[in-house]
Amino acid sequence: MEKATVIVIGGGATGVGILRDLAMRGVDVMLLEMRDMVNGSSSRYHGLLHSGGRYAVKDSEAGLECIDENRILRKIGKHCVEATEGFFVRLPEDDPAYEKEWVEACKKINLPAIQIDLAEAWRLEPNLTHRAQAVYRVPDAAIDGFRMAWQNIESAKCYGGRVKTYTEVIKVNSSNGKVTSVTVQDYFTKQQYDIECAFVVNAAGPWAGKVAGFTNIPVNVQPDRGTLIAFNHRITNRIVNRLHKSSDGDIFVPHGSITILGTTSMSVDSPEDTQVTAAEVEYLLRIGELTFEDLRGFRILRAFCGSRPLYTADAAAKGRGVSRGFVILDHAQDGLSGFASICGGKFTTYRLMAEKMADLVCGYIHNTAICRTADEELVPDINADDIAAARKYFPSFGVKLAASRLGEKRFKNVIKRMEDEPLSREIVCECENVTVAEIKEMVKTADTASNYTLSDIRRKTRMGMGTCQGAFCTFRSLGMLAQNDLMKNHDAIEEMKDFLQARYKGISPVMWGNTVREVELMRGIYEDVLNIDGGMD
Amino acid sequence: MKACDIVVIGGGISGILAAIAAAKKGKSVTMLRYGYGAFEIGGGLIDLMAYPIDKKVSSSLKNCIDTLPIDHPYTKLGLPQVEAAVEFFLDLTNEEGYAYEGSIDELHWVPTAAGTMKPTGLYPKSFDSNILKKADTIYLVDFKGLKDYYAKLTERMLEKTLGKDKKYEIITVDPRMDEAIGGRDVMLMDIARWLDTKEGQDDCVKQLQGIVKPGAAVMFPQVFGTIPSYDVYNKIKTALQCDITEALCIPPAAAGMRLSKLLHQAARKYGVKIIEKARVKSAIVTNGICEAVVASGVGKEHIYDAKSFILASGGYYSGGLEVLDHNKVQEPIFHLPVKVMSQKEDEWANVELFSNQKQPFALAGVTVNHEMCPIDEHGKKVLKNVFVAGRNLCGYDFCFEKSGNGVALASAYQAAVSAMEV
Repeated sequence: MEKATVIVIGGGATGVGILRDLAMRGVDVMLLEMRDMVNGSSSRYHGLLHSGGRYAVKDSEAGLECIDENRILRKIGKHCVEATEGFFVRLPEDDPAYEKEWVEACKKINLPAIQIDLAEAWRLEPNLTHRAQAVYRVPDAAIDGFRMAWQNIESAKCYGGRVKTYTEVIKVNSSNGKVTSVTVQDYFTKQQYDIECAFVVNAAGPWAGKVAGFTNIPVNVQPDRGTLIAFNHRITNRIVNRLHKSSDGDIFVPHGSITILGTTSMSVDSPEDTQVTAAEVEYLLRIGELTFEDLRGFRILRAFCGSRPLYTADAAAKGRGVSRGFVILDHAQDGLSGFASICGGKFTTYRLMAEKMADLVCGYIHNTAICRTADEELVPDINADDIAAARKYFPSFGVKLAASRLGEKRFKNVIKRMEDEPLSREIVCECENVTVAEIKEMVKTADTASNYTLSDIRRKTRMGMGTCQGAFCTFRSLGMLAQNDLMKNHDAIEEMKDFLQARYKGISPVMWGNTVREVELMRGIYEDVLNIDGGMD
Repeated sequence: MKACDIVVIGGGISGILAAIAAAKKGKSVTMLRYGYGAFEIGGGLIDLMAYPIDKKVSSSLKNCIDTLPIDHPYTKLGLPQVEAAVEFFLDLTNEEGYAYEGSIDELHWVPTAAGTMKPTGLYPKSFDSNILKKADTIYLVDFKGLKDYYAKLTERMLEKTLGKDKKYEIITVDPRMDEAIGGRDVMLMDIARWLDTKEGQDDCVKQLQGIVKPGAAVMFPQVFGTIPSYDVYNKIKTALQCDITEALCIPPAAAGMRLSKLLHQAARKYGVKIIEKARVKSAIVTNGICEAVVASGVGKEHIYDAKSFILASGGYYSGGLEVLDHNKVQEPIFHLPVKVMSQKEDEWANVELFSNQKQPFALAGVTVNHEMCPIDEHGKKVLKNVFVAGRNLCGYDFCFEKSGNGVALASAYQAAVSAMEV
């Protein structure tokens, strides 16, 4: 039987943070994810590394945690953080009294919020509305959720941490009130087997209630749906927050060449309900265009949504409130030792949450090592020779991006492959500059033994995430996988349909302007020319 | 006195067909265009109709035209007019030395690079899936370094479509483009242009002759030259003593380029005046008659007057229709009435990209009568001397139905007939 001292359930930000933390403390740890890594809430949000400004008034403790973690992540995660800084902008419809309260609150948590001249603000952000009444600079930053997770995993693997994707935990087994193993099922083959362990960490985010349910322990997590819009333009160079009581649709975050606007808040039954409606998009645009008047003139790439894992402690809950932001539940108090759940929290504080959980686990397994995740960089810098070698094959602006998404070892492998096999330099996804060599590397180092999907490649390489949303690379990537004998049990036509449907899902609520042209092209290729869905004679 | 008889707005397949149809009858025609249509996307086939209602295939356009919805352009045109248009097209391609085959009486199936079969109507004879069905041995030809075509993928899926009892073999031909490999990607167009040359044809044949056994079927990607001629096809077929076919590929499509060249050749022959980079912005209208259109050219605006006008500005892809919001579509030049089939915001697009029902957004378009003259919701003509052809018409989903160029052809032909009568 396979074994690990600690099993972490859930491949989101919290899970990968715990994986890295425990691995760095020398613990034999394995992370199990039911689908692909970073497939849930951790990739379905703004990508905002909070300065704490948003929480300063309402929840100074959360604000304080944010500014501390913000400083740590800028240091350890410089390859996934873009230090854009942020604006807090008060509009005429926002309460001036709140501005005063906010300035005071920022001071209290030692958050540098510096008021700037409106003329200077408009010079820095020309698209910002001239209705702005007051503008403050704060140290917000943009963070790439995918990249952050991969880099945590890379780091954890260096310390012996293991990851299995498409491996869903379906049972937590115990004996005499102690966890002994988990039963898992392979998503593709449906094969079931057990993995022996001494401790199970439930970091399943909005699915945490479901996982705890295997042991009949109630964990009250309410999925709370947040909808976001990705624009195909860098509308702003800085993160722009509305300076008012936190509300819907009041944050813009630039990432590379795109901008994300969000978000909404709505209780839903299932975290898997991720189809955005046209009404939600319209609602966000109405609010967003108060801050950027020309908002509707920018092409929308797609709309998407995720679920916040909101934790509500009921009277019977024995939770130890680690902070107002998140909670760790040691289920020894529910009569099952070696099992704990972590709920709530926010992306910005994932590292802190992981540290607290790792502390609990290490206490249980008598490991006395201390947390070092705040001190060591997630991934080492890529050396100058490799960068120089890569410049021969990558477009110059893509070198750094590729280096940071691949990590040192894989980056070297990819360059080597390009040197040795000229055919592998072929570009599969022109929007995001993804080559055959890179896809080959990603498939060969996949974390699942049984199979993988095109969406897995997308999450790791950004293939299909650019302007054409898969119109060309869907066919090409399957072609190159077949050509290189990297296909497993894939039905190429079904795979094409699934991948295109996943892209279309984010496009269908925003079908106007140039977005419709893109869909027309996509349908023209796959439905009209290739007839991938038509009945045959 | 007007400068010409007919001004055609748009340079895609419907615009150029309408222009030729009128010019061939002796009318003076000016074509204003900004783009080149979707020739290189669609692949040069004239799809007529395969899936009229759902994804159940119909045996021919003739057999299903009566079952089409009332708003469908074919319903408005009627079978005799569609037949006349098909005849016009077949004659035209024959005259130009690259004769298309097919009819409204039956579907013709064409192999694709995805290993699927696609139903079409009128086609160059170098596209034929029947030869694959008949053969025991199928050779799939790939080219060294070629991007956008992957014979192993095609083989894998073709086995699913045609069955495993056939023998499949991949042959990789070297187009001698080593200097390009790894430097820039070798595209289908590079191979097609290589096969335009005698050296390329000879080299390709020579490489295949030793391996391909006579009597087998040989499938190529869409590379039989960029010129509207069967020379490449005939030469390879004769040399190999095999049935051969091209497969439809992702864009750009060489066969689309062939059709485009053929139509331009014909347009020039019949004296169509083509004005490039002329983006028509607006129209000058008095009393329900269009006097002239205003186009932005290089540096200044130009006014083009004519007795009648054919609007063939395309759909969403070409900008002939613009989507302002869900269920809000405009035709930006004449602001003609646009019919949107869906009413509710969330019914504008299906939940599934591919499903058993047509996409509501695709059905939106300009409403016309049987003359292709734009009409309002009461059926009254909006502009008496303007006629509409192609993708900006309402009532059909070309991707779903496989009817795109067929509707373009039939509506363009009718629009030309109507415009000549003004």
